[in-house]
Amino acid sequence: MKNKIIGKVLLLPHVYKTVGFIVAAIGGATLIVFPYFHLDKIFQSCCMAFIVIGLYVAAISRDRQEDEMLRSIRFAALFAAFGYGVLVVAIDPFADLIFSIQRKDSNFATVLRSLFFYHFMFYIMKRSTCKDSGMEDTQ
Amino acid sequence: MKNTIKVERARRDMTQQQLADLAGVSRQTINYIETQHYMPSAALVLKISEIFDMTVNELFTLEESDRE
Repeated sequence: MKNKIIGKVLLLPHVYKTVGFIVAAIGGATLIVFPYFHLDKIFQSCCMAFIVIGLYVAAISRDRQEDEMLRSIRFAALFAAFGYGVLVVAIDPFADLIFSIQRKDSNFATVLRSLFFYHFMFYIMKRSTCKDSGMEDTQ
Repeated sequence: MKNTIKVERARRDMTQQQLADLAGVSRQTINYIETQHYMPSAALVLKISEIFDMTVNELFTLEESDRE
């Protein structure tokens, strides 16, 4: 029985979750050590792209056992992350005015924060279901 | 939505994992349905009732709050 309204949500195989996190970690680690090696701006941009793409690939990868409840958790986490992103974009200009911060790479920061928030929410919601089901076991 | 999955499972001496494997979902999902924390889709409801060889109405009943 297929849902024609929503359709099939295209998710990558589970292995891409690990690949995505590894790519993001490499990008993040390089960005942290970047000031010590005085690498150029293009390389820094590449690292930022690695982080965002890696986290996004991890976000759109299947879980080990992807089922309808996990899909609803994924949707709830995505909804929360989108809301968080909108809130940040709405509040940021005022925060900049109040604290007079001249921030660079605000697009990168917004996307990165939303992706982190998505992974955090997904993990928390998934953990809470696992924790609950662990208490009341099989029989 | 109330359900008698836990009772039917116990009657058949079936574990949550066994039912989950038959229904093609995770054990956490079965647990969440049994404890009424998650309302399954129509497809999963039909699949579970098929596994127990029962009708949907025998397994699932609407509560007053569901009718509002």
